[in-house]
Amino acid sequence: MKKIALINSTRVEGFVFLILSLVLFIYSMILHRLSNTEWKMSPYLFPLVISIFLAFLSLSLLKEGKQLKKEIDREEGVGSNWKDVIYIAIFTLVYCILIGVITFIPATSLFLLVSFWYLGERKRYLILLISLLFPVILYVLFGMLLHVMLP
Amino acid sequence: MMELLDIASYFLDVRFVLLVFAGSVAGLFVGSIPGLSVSMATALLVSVTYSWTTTDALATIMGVYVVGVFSGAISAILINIPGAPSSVVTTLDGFPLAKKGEAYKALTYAIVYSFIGTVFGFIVLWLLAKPISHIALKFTPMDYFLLALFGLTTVGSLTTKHFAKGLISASLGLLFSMIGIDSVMGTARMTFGISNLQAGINIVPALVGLFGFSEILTVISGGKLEGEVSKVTKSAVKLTLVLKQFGNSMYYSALGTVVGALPGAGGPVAAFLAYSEAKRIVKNPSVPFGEGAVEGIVASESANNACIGGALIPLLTLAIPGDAVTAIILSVFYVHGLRPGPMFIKASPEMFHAILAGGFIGSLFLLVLGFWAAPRISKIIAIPKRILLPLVATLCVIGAFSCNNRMFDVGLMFFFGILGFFMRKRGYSVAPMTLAIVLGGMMDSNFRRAISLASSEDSFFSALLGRPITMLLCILVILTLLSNSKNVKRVLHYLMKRRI
Repeated sequence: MKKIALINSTRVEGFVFLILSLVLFIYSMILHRLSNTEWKMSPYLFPLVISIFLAFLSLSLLKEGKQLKKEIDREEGVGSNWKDVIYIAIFTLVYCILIGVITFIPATSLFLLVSFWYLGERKRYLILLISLLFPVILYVLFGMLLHVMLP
Repeated sequence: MMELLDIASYFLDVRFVLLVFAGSVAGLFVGSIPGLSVSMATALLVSVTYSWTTTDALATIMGVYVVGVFSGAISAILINIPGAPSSVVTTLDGFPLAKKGEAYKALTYAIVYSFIGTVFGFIVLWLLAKPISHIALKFTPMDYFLLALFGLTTVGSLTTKHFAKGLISASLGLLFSMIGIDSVMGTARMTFGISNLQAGINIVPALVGLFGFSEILTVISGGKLEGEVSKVTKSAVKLTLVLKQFGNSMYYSALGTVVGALPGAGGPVAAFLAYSEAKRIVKNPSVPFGEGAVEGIVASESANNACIGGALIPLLTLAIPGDAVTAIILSVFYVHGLRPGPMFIKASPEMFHAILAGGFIGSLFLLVLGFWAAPRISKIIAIPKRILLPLVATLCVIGAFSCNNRMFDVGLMFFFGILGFFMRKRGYSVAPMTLAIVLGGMMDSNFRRAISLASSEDSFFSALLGRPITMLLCILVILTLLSNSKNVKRVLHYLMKRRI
């Protein structure tokens, strides 16, 4: 099952990049026409060249996906702890949104609290200490010393 | 002589030395903690140093770069997990030696030969940068385009197992670099009506996302968050015994500098090459290689640290970064309004001297911090990742925000982080994409300039590709593409077999 999934994903990637290159090609052609400039000066010349290059590469990926039937290798050192990755990505996304709403220090404290707990830290005093202290230190460091105005 | 005095003057500049020291301390921690990388730290630093003077920013970054590359060896020796990719080879002999109770000896060899490698690399940079700049002055727009293309193809070939995937990563990076106002005609391109994209994709959030946030997700995805730390007991290691390897280390350092100067090759390739050379030339190692031979540590550490000076050569003379960190350093130059290239050393000699001084001072701090802090650092290496990773995520958010003080860049960082994670997951290296984002604008404008100039000549193709340098670069690009083609490899393999 794993084998079929890997073969398919390489071919799917090839297919996705092929579509991307076609979209880019059409986009460059249409906008070049609308821009009324010569090709040699057109802002869409280089995107057009990239689209052609990408099309060749995606075809080679499709071909590679076909040949992968015999040799399957796992990708470089990356495991698949999907649940944790999705949760941390969601926490970070919510954190980014919250910064604009409840400002930096409360949002960061909340993010750290939730993330530490989720990733398995159970020492409550440590979680509280770092979650409350770290955002304040960062705020002082960036705001006062480095002149970065955090929200 | 004046140049030497100018470099020496930085040694007396307390502010400069302190900034290099601050960078070195940061590099020591970042490099030695697995899961944090020098490129991640440098990317974060670019955002922090945004409002600093260029000299201050370079001083800090050189400290991080020099000590960060070395300190990957600390965790490689103590916990068998390289802190940086370039220290992978150090684990082969460093950890077995630590397991025998000789961790201090392994660290001593790593410190001394990292120092020697770094100094060697920077001396070569000092000696070669000017002559290379003189050659580069003869470059035409087409040569610049081809040179950048050569850089991207070599990065694509060396940083990933699948050449096509490396080139796809580079192509996507070029695509991202096209977003924004076109530098030649001044029209908005691929902005899709989003006003925040008119200034283009800011390199800082892209770098922080690709190297910082994606790395956090990758470490979490790997699930391996803890490691056993070897005990470091201080024992007398005779310096004369350590320096017995000096002759060989010069050879490994030369190898490292050359590999570092090749765009995209970097520390891991240099360390592997030097290690295989060590196995070939050292007939009687202290113990067999792989069982704690100090000769293996010498080879790996001399070569990967010499790469630093090597990687800076194409960056400063041709504006082509030699590795991911130099790609980020290139963005520091752009952020501060400087343009590396053939005229850089002539136009901004003080910056060139600041880089050299930063490198030399950084290597001295490598020695000091290495001997003083490395044996004491084992507790910090063991910081649980469940504590460390959320803190780094916070730094990524601040890093992205601080470059323009806008939340849009934080969104960009998040996007590139997720993209980088999936790319790593599927075997696409993020290094070619980074280089392409940095070089894309330059490639685009030079490509169009070259086409435009050639079209006004009688013979288009001879005007475009007829010059010897252009032809040589064309051949290099074609050779790189062909040598990585599976069909060509198959034919070569067949021919070799027939000969045998």
